[in-house]
Amino acid sequence: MAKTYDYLLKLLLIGDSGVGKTSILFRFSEDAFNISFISTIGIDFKIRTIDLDGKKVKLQIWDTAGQERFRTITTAYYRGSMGIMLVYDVTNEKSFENIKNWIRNIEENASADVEKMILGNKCDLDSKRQVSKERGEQLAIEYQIKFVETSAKDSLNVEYAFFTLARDIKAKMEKKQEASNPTPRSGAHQLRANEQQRKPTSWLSRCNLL
Amino acid sequence: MSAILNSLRNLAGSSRANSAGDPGAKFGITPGEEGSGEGGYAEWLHAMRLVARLPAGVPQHFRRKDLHRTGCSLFCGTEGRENQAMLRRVLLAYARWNKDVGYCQGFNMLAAIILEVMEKSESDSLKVMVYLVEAVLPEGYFADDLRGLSADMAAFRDLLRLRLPRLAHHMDHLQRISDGGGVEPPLPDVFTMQWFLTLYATWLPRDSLLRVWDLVLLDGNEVLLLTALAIWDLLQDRILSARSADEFYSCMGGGAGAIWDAGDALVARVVAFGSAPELPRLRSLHRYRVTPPAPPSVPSHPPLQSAVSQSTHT
Repeated sequence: MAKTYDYLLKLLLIGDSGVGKTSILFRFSEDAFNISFISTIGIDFKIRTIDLDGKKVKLQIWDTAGQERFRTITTAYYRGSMGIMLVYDVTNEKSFENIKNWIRNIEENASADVEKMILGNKCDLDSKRQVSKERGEQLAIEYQIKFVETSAKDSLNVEYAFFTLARDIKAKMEKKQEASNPTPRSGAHQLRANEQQRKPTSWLSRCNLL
Repeated sequence: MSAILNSLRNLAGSSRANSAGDPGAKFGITPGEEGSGEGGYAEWLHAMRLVARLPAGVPQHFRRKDLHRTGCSLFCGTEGRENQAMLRRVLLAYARWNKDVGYCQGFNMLAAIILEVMEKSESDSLKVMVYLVEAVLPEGYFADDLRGLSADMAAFRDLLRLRLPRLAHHMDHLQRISDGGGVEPPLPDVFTMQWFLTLYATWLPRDSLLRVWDLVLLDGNEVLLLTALAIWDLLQDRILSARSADEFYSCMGGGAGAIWDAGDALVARVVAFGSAPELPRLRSLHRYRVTPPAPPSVPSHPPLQSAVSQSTHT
């Protein structure tokens, strides 16, 4: 089977229970929204291949259960992630406050150079809003992380969020690739088994140029 | 289908007069018709175990008509809202009954199926839920940091290595060669976690699902792991052709469809695996590894009836 993509990116969605992680992913992978509440059991994933600046980029997106008791099990999926979306619910103050805890979780469990993005979801529910857009932006500035308000229901900024995160990761990978490999390789379908035996500390040095 | 749940329903002391099965039959879904006392029950249990392992499961006349419904579940459509409130009450009642476990994501799947089988009797559903979580499933499956579940996931990986060595070796290999190495979680985990937590509710069509539940209730929780073995076994060819962890995950989408379509063939495979005598050893090994054994504690449950009545007043 020939490789059908140029890059494989692994993304992870985290945040409190009920903020809409699964709905965001469902919107992105199936372009649909389902009002019924089916909570994520442990961990799940979806795959979508996108076209990014002329490259086929395969996204393997991991969705996690927000409930505290799943924390130990889900953190095993942090380490291999190249990008993490931190999701809160703009109608739920507590979920916003907990973003700091989720960031601490990333610092403890993910690779140091993981790309991050904060998503304030359910921005269509303006009458129930508890967290202003400005506060979201302020938090993002504080942590130097990109931020966007989304609505999985109205399909607002969901594509934008995934494409932005994917583009940032891809740019970082290409930069790293150039730095370590001044002579540009064409094709770049050269990942060999022996290259994989290194134990790098970051995902950048094991980036998937497949 | 799900004769065992039906008999549990009868045992739960439902006030509704409802005799499932042929009243003239010598052997029915209710224990006690084979003779009195413990011996009679043991005989009945033995017979039920044999029957549940038959290629078609328990005989047609044991089955409840309303369970043949396919497609839309109880919890969508016009009646859906009312039924969802019912579901919430059962879950709340369980959370009150066992505060240590409380509500665990995934419980809604279990409770929905139980409610459907128990013909929407909330108090009977609660009893079955309590029985399932506290008497049938291993300790600590849903509580705290899910250590019982984590131990079972690890024990299962060992069982897979013993029973389906070629497949297990391949999955281990794909995990190892995954980018960078050492960062890819064990490949079966994402699936086994969901299977064990929902007792296959999201992966099997209703008929096969209830047959697996019958086996779990009759033969014990090792059936959960035998079912996982059967699924991986059926997907073996597909997985062996994957050359990376990414290809493995990609091919599992089609794998889920294949399992859904397998139906009775899957249950037959579960039965063919028989038993897993090595399981208690593997489980205790991993349970110990995951967390040191806690001192025995006396469970402090409120009376079941009070949990039920609290739930109905919510």
